[in-house]
Amino acid sequence: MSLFDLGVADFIGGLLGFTLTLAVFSHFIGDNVAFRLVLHIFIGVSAGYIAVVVANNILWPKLLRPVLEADGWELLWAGLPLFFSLLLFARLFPRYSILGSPVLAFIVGVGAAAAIGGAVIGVIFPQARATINLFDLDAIRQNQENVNLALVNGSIILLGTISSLAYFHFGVRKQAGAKTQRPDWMEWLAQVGQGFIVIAFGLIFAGIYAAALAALIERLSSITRFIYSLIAGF
Amino acid sequence: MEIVSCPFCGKENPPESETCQYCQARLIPLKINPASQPDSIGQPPEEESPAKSNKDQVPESQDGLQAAGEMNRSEAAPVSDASDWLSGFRNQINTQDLSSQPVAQDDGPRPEIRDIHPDIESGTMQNDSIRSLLFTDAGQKEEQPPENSVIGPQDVERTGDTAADDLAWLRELQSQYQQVESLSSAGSKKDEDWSAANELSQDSQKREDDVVPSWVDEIYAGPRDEKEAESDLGLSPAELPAWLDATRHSGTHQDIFSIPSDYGGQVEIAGPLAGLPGILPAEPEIALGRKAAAYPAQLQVTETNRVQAEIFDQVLQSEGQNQPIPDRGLVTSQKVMRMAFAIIIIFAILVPVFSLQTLERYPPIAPVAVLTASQIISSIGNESPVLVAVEYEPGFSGELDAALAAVLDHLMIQEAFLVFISSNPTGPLQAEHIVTVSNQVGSHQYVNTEGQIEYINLGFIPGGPAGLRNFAENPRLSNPSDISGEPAWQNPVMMTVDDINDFSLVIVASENQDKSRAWIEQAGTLLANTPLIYIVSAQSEPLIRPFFDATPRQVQGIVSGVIGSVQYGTTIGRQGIAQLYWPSFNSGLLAAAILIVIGGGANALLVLNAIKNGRKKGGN
Repeated sequence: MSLFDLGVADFIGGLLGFTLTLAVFSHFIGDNVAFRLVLHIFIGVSAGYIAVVVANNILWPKLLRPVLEADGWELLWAGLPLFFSLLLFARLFPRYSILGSPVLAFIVGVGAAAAIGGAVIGVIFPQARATINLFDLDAIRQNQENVNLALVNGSIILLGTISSLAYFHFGVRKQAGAKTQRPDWMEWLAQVGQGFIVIAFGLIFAGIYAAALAALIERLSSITRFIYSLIAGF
Repeated sequence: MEIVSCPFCGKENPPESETCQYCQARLIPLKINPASQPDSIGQPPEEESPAKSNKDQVPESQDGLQAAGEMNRSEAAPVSDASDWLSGFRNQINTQDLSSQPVAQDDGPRPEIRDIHPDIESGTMQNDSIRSLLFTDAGQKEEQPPENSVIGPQDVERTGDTAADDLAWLRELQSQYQQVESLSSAGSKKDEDWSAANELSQDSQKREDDVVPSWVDEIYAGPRDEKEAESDLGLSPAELPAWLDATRHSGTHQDIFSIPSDYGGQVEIAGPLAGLPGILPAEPEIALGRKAAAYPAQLQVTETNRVQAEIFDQVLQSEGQNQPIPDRGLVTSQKVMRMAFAIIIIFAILVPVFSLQTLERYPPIAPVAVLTASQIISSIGNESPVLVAVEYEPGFSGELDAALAAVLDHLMIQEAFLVFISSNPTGPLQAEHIVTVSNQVGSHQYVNTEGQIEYINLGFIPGGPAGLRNFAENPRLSNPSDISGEPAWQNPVMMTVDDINDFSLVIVASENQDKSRAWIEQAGTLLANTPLIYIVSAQSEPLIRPFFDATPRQVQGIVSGVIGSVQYGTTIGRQGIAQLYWPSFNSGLLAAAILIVIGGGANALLVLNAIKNGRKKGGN
């Protein structure tokens, strides 16, 4: 694709992307005005866009329009969300902030209930059951897996789970005249767990580097494509 | 410098002043210091006689001239006591060789009354001085032990004479005691003692009458009979009721008007009462305008505690202070190293791009997670509704666009009906972007126009986990319209969807582990037969993997980052954005691996060198 194949919008967009990318890369030589300018632009654009999305997707279609289009008893039902929303503005004034407390409490309560319920039902119980099922011989045979290898794999996972949890167990029983420390077997288990945790952190670090590398490749590729289109145009 | 304020006038005075230089009020309260009391007549000032040391053992009534007078009137003191102290004194006299050291015993620091009388008669002394000395002497008389009382009569008789020889009185004293001893040996010692005491008392009384006011004498005289006093005035005694008589003070005048012993020997030196002894101090000591005593507020701490306290204090003080950023040079080792690493990695990325060479060696085998995802999507029928949750931030679009584009390419090949949703405000925009990218890469024509609707962008889900739960249970009510505001559920495909289970497939693309887990927690629990596939960043893949490895699986497939996208493209035989990134991605990973190895080796050498130097130092 050459420069002449690009539209005006594409050209301006490509030029802006090229300039802003170079400004971000200027952080290699340290903090500077160009980097901070780009930072402020990104934050401002993001905030403006989010405000537009919220207004366009939530406030108007779900809050204001139902009130304007409702009549009779529907107006009372549709006006309740708007009324409670307005009560939240009372939090801005300390004298009347108590008016917004019930609404805020309702929001926090619903959010906490959803989060806790989902964590228990969606993560804790299924993961505990999955760890137990690693030693389900019927399931292993059903999946046509090697039973011995499956049991070894399950044992490693079980050991990693228990030892990692043991690493974060800091409860000790105080004994008079003795050094306060965990029992020897707990120390040993914690050391094993520490090994599993180190491996996990190393894997996460590799993933972070891979993600950052992909982002860098995407930006450099975009720059080279833009430069190539400019060169090809002339 | 300490300044003493006058308790009466309030004016300030120098600290060494005893009286106020403005109102003559006393600034220093009277305090009894027994050591500063004048010594008895004829007694060496620096040598405490046994008689004086026995002073506390004798009855208080015998202490001084007044006491002697009282005893004479009341005749209440036991005679045997007088014999004891007198015999003790006699023993002392016998053991001392008074004639051998007469000068040393008479080397007193102050004038005696017999030396002052000639001055009085000659008028060479000022009135105040005379009065002060006389009263001082009177006060001393009260403090004199009975031994001096015995000595007194002979000595007082000599007061009118100018003593040419100071030792003469001492010799007379010795002879006097020899006479007393001879009298005591004759068996009439008691009578002679009392007669001598009476003579001393009468003589002292006569001398006091010359200088002490009569009212003081009344106070000193002790209790008097009331009836006798009233009879002197010619008044008949009143008959008081019994109850009133019972309330009267049963003590004597001596009890009422007695001067406290602490002040009895002091003489007023200022004010209208100057010169009078036994004056109660008018000003309380507490009224002196001195600064309050400064008690030390320092804790008794050890040196270690003090150092730690200083460090803690410095830390607290430095909390509120802006620490200046140290000036760093333009070129530092850290900055050079950072730039060197950046240049190396950028060079490794750009070399495959400018060489225009494609790396055709892709991973031959796809992992189970990717293969399963590919198989599930391959089973998606035409016009099947597929929910795609775009939950990643724009900053991760470089990685996740490549991964999601490969999956969307496959879905577009399958002609699935795509429904985009996001709980991230920027998600709807990312969804529009990825559709455009997928159309470009895969040469598709997925559009959303009035005449042709092949995908719908439902926009943003507010409310976090609760909003996700609400959408999973009732998507129609949660997002009734699309991002452009048009009704979203009037499409024939969308009309078949009432809850999240009616979708043929749910795909979640996210780099955030919390967002990914929220979909599993809120929507995954409601999914019965609908598979759930994750398109995740490489950094969050280890945290999603347990949901795929679980039995039963909570996630049916995972496509992770650039590598997963390439593997997915391999399964369907398509090339997308990931394949374009693949050579640079491999070069970048290789460069990073080489830098890690070099850095680790260099660090190991530094550690070994440090250990070696440490051994050398230890060996030396």
